[in-house]
Amino acid sequence: MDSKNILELSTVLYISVGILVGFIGRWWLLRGDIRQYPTYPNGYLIHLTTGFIAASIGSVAFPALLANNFVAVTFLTLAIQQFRDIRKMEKESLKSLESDVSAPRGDAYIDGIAKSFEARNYIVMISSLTTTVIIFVLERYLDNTILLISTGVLVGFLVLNLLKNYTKGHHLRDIMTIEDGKLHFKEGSNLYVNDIYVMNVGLSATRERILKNGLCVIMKPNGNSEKIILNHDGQRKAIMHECSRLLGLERYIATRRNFDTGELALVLVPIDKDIDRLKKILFSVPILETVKKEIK
Amino acid sequence: MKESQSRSILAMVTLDNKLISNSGVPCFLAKDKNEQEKIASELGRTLAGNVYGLINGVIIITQE
Repeated sequence: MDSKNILELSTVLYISVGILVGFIGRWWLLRGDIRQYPTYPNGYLIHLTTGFIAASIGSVAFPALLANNFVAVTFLTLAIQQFRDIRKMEKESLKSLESDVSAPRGDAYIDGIAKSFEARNYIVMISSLTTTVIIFVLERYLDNTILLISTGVLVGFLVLNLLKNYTKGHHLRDIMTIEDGKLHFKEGSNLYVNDIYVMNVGLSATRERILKNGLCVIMKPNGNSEKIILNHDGQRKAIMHECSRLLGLERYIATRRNFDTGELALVLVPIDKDIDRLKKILFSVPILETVKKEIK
Repeated sequence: MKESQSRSILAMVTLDNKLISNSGVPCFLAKDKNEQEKIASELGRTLAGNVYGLINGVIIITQE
């Protein structure tokens, strides 16, 4: 075989450094949070593998260009197509689970989750790309391999960190405070939290159950644009989904908005009756991307 | 949770049949408050509907 066709060892080393940076980056971006999907080994494996592939594509692109291989750029577009497929797949799999849960996630939430998965692959790809670009460009000026690689790794992680902070979402704790409410019935069967009407319950046995086991809070948005966020239907579905998923749902979950003040009342009858945990969950519900766009 | 734009009434349970006139849905007449709730609960379960109480004491069962 022509020795020209065999990669130099240093090139292989540089490329693998790029891949490694991307892969570690994906690992770092992987959220092991119970609020987040995925929580399970299979989910981890899927995302680490696609992250590895993204890192490989990112780090090979620049060296391939240097070798006069312009096909490498079309490779990138192919990769983007692949990652969009990942988003679609994620969306479909989450949508197919919707009918199985007591409080559905809602389309806006699913869209946000799928988008962030796609975005994470791009973050990995970009950081891998910058790592190898830096290494290959500096190679002409620097003789010291260790210095070269460490500079590349440093810049790679810097880009990773920047993108991570840029794509970081906010949580409900940034926009609201929570107050305790009091559950009571008026006019026989109308359930109120303080003065916010929530729902009508016809049976006295159910009314007793709600009064005995139910939890309720009132969420107070900090300002007018925050009111818009809390009023969004998708956001409210996300809130209900997270509460019912983490506390369990005996029966009934509902949110109602006070039209005058923009406050949101939440009532649920959970399996795990723990008001402090409920507040913690509510504070850490992510603000959906689609809603954020609307207020800007 | 099924989502629909509007729900229809599946049945009504009342203590006083004068409260319901010309109804197009099945109406059940109960003897007392206790029986009314029991009937409503049974109907709610068998029809897989939601049970709501009106201010005049009539209980309606609607689609979920």
